Amino acid sequence: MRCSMCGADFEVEAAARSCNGCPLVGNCGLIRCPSCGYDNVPESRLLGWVRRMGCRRKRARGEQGLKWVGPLTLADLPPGQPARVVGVVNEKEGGRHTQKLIAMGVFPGARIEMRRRSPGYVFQIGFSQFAVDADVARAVLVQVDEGRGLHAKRSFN
Amino acid sequence: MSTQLVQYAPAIERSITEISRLLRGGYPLSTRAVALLLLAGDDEIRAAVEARDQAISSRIDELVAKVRSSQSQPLAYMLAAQRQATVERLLPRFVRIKAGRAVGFGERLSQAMMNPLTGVPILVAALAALYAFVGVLGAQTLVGWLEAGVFVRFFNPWVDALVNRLIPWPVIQALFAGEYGILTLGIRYAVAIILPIVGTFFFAFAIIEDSGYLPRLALLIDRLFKTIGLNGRAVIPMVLGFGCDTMATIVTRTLETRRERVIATVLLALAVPCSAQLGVIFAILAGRPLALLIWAMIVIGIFLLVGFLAARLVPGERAAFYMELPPLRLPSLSNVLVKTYTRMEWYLREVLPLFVLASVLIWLGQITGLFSTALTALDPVVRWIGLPHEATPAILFGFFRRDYGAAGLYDIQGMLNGVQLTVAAVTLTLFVPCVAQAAVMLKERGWKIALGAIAFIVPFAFVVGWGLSRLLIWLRLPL
Repeated sequence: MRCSMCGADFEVEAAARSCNGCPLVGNCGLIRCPSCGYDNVPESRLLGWVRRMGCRRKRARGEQGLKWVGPLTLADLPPGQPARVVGVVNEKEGGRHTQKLIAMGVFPGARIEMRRRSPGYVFQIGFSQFAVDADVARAVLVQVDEGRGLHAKRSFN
Repeated sequence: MSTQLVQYAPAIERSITEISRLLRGGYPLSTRAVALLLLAGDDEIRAAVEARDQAISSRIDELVAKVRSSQSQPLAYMLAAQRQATVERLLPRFVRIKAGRAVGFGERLSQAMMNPLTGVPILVAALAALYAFVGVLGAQTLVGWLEAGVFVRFFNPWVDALVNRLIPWPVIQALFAGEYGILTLGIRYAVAIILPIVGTFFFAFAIIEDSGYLPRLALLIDRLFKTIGLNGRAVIPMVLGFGCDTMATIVTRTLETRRERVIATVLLALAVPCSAQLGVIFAILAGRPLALLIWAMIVIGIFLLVGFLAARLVPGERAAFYMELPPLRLPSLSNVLVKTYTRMEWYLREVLPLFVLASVLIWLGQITGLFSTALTALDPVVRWIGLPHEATPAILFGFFRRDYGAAGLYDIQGMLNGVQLTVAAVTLTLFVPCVAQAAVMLKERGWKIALGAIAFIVPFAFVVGWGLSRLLIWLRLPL
């Protein structure tokens, strides 16, 4: 995001580090700019949601919205879309969930299918179903299983 | 040497050999197994290696770091994936897999439980059934029959007469019989008031547990629980808390982060009434639906409010939600009965000595005058929240056990009006955890957090009680 005081571009995660020593431990709802220390008010969630809805509608009309770049994660799959596991996200945040994913048997090459996305993610792998939240679902890298896409409710682009 | 079933990727195999060569023998595992654990990042084995030879340990650390940086995936994950691949290679030779079953009623019900539109009504229906079973059958029918029919009519007069005949001294008589006797109060509370309620709750809980509903409820409620700093997994201790908060506080161990364990412990102590308390409160407020509604709203509101504030104030990382959804199953009766019996036995063994001890303490307090001193000291507080002086013993008993206090309230309910009953029910629900729960809190969370929680809860309960009594009097609701 961009600081509204000094105009510096910074990562929100980097800002969290400058909260060290503050008793509210990042629970204040403000984002402190790492370069000038100004407490920025983040964009309202409601506005962000409205904006995303707008993007989605544009995309539905065939207009080019935001183009998705980067690898596909479990959290991006629509329900009913068969896919295969490619791996796990290996960065610091995603890496937290590795042990859990090992325990669930989420290994490369395994067939995985999203069953529902709300109120949480439910996926089927092997003979088991698991419920996870968005954090865990975003830690699994997947690839759409083209050959078995017959049951998909919507196609995936 | 055993044959190696699992062959890892060449780069990993090379580092396994290198690490094994550095390790001198003498571990209870083979050096290959130790090397694999070190690669997977097992802290325990790393500490063991370091304790033997620091130089070798740091040499190994370098090797592990080198392999780690050359791989795109976490090492532990790669090792597990390669083992899994070996299993999958072997499996088809021994196992035949039938084609998957069609989507049946169970799968549809499972989906309905997780969909918020249908899941919330299902939850409400489940709670209503729970209330009918525990609150009506357990707390009213069974308690009424045991308490009035068996104890007050036969057991107590018989004990009084027997004790009066056998023991000539009134002081000792009062220890066993009379108003606060071990047999007439302790045993009566435990067996006639608490046992039927706890028994019916544990029976219902065993059915819910065995059906596989809890993980689905956990998913449904995950978002809400995230706002109070917990996640869906915490429904298990929370629902169990409606049975016994002591047991539930022990179960908070299953939560992943310290932050969640602290928040769950405080919420259990503050705003989750145990089944005995719940049953007695249902029985007291049964004829007053509005009072019951106000009680429920206040307690739920405080649960969410305090959770929300705690989530903001307690430091630590957010925990992730993950849970297996086992297929829905019809519970087997024998399994449910065994579970219910085991839990009831545990509960009685836990509760009876404490009830007896409480009776003895009250007796001691009475003959030394301490009891009346404590009652006098507590009296202004009780009056301050708008309750009559007769409610003071019930509140004081609450210090010994929550259910004991609630049961004391059950005894004097005829003396209180609607507003007072509501205030008393709310205050006793929020009020201190029982002796057993406080002990478990100390043991599980350490004295700092346990004492901090209690120091917050006690004044908070009375302040809420006071505020509520003012509000209800001002609103003049027909309670």
